[in-house]
Amino acid sequence: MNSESQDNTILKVTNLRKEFGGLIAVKDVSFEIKKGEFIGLIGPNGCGKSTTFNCISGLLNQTSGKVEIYGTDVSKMRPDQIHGLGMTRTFQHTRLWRKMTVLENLLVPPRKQFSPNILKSLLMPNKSKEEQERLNQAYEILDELEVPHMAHNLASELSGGQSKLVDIGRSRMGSPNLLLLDEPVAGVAGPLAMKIFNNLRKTVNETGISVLIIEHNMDFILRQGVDRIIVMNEGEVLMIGTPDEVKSNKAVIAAYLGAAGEEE
Amino acid sequence: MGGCVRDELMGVKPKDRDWVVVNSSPGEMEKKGFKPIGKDFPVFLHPATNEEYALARTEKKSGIGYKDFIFYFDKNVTLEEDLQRRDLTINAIAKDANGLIEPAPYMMLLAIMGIISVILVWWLLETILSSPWGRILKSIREDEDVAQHHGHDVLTHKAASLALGAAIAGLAGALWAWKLTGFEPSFMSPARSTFLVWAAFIIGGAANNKGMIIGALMYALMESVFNVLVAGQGSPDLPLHATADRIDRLFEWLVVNQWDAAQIFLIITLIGFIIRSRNITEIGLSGAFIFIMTFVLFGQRSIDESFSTGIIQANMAYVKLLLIGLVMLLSLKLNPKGLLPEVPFRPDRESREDIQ
Repeated sequence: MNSESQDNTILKVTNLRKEFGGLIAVKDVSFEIKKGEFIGLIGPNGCGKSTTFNCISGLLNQTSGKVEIYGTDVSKMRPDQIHGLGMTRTFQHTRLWRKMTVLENLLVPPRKQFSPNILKSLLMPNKSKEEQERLNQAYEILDELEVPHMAHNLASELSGGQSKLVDIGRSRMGSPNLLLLDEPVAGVAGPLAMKIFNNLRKTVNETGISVLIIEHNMDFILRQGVDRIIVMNEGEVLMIGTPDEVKSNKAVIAAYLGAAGEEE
Repeated sequence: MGGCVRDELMGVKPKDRDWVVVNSSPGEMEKKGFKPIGKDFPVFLHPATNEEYALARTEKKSGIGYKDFIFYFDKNVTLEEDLQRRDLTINAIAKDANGLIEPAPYMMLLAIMGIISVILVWWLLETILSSPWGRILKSIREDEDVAQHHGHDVLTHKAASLALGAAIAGLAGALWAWKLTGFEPSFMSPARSTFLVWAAFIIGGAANNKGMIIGALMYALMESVFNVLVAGQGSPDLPLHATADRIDRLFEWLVVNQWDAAQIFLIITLIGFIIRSRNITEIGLSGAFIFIMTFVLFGQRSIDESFSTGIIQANMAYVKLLLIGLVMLLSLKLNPKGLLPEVPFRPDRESREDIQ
């Protein structure tokens, strides 16, 4: 492997394995994500997608194998340290901070909240330019997600779909280089889900961040411009390829696409 | 004066009493049969009780050490002047038939300092609450896993907030220790340092500084009312004696006539049964159960053993805890957010019109 492609690799998972007692949830999974890639992760229920996410983000410790972000081994790191390397993730069950407003939810993740002057940010919170920038950024994201009118509502007052939207917005506020989204548009109305996908694609193209997305809706995954797809089945990677390759692969159709593949 | 007054205030029987005598002279004291101790200090022993009687005195330091003082102990030195000479501790408390005498309005000074501290701490906490750090702490309160996944180390932030809270508690403790003019570890009972603080913010409203102050004020008011009640139990001249007496009589009635109390609760049960109110029935049944059990299990001998003096009297410290617990339960049931709920941070959007 030459040095150029080495530099471009943001996330590298090698032989990742996670066992819960006797159950092997993830069986020696390996894949790579390069800068500016938009990658889908699909597979039937219980095939280890979310467990893979949890091992990457530091919520779980893997049994064996290696996860590297920018060449740094993150096996022994805390989630906040991994976040510090530029990774942000969302959870499958939307976990907003329920007794805080939507705006407050968006204002927690930005990096460098205390710099350059801790005392100033503690004692004169609303006068700093950085705080104003954070506010503007939050409102821009809310506009894009079509929920600016909910900015001052408590997160517990949102509907399920709106919570998903705010969760995506919140993950973008941390200005990640690598974004791990766990079923971000489940429960979101079709047109808006489409728009979110388009926006993600646009963000990837414009800013060069990498996105790894778990999604069950095959329409979005196969048609909305995902670069590559990783298909998992029973804890193993079945195949990695472009949407067209995945669509025509018989093993994938048998394991997962099933009826949806046959209809076409 | 001094230690014995402290003992009396704390409800302990003083071991020995010291007195300060005003409007007298050494000669007069000796004529009355008092025995002088030593040559330099105008201190005398009472011929009958052997308690210490000291002439009120002021002093001037005339050299180095404890001995080189010049004393003025003539008839004109008042008790207050004598107390001013003493230090700021328990030695400067004296008591006469009318009550406590203080050398200077220290309590007033302390109250002013307390209010200034409350204002300063209030300002600090309100500012920090609306700062980025306040947001992060709130997010950790709501879901610390997610906060950790958004780049905030939960342990560090929790430790920092604990340190801030401990610093504020330390400031309060310093003022409190001054008010007590002395301190012992036993003053810090678990109920006082944990349960009552918790009760204060449950009642007033968690996550709201105004609510916290209201809760603390309610608790402090209750505490002082009950202190007066404890004093009122003893003597009919003091205020609130009638209330204390009523509480005592109710308590005595409950202790002695358990069967009567059980009957009242059984009637409540019946009423609840008739009007088909499950809540009232449950209250009646549980009350009746308690009093029937005490009626069956405890006889006259247990009462005699518990109240060895023969006087059945309620311990106001427990009545106070009972009342605070009751207020807290009601507050949790009827108004779980407290008197004043949390107010989220809602800044105005500046460029709202530009976008539309």
